[in-house]
Amino acid sequence: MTSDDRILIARILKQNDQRAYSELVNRYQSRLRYSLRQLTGWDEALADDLAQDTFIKAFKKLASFKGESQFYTWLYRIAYREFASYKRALKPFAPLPESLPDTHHANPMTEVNTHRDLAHALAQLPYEQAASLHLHLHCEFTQQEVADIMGAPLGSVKSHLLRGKNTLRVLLSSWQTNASDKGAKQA
Amino acid sequence: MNNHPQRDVSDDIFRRLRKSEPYLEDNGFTAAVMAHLPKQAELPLWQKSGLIILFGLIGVVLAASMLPVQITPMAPLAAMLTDHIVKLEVFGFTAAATFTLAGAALWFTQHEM
Repeated sequence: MTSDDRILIARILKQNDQRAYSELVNRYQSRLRYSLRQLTGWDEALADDLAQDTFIKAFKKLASFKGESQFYTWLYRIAYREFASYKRALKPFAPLPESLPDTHHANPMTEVNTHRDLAHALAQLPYEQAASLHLHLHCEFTQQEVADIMGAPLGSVKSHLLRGKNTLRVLLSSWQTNASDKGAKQA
Repeated sequence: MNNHPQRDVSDDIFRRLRKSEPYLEDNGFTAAVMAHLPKQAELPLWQKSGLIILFGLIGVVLAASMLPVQITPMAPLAAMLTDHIVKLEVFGFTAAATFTLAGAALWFTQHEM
């Protein structure tokens, strides 16, 4: 936890200073909302709802935050629970499509589209695999931190990562092929 | 921090996108979160109990002051019990006033403070 975070949290707990919490929300809102967009297939409204619920729950539970991990990690633990609850409430997992939704054919291969494409690809995976991949490979949490965030054994996280990578490789192969074809045509 | 024994397409894509992660403008998000927070944190139990007792005592004193007989302010209950001059309805009024004020105090501590 950064010293800044620690100071802000102390102000919230001791002086009930909601402005300090506003600073914390502002500091982490972009990263958390981006992560939730990645996990929800870039559903901006849903991701923002989950992020909002996460910050509200974090505020209510702040007294239980002991500072053993970074505030950011603790926040992700709450966010993952929100996300997992949402996914569990949905219908059972649908079978995987053979390739990604054809979003990148209509649009130029910009970075923004790539972010969305990856989000769409992750949305095709079981949510535990998608979350493991995103948390480990994008957020750069260690595998042990991912296990702590997900409340899962380390072995399960390793398994999710392996399976997720294998599935993602298949899904992204069409993406790479199409990107190569597009590049060749432009050349 | 991470172990990457075998880099593959997913590693590369994640690495590339990590570097180009967009900053999402707040656009009222923080304000929406703040609007949904509980107004104030709840008071600790000892403060809440203290306030309830305080308001309860105020209720007793107020009720006692309305009695038709002169009662020593410092010992209203003793006077009621020993002198046998307090009618039942007055005692009931005292109790009702006490509980009403205590209830108001409890509500006050949970909603306003």
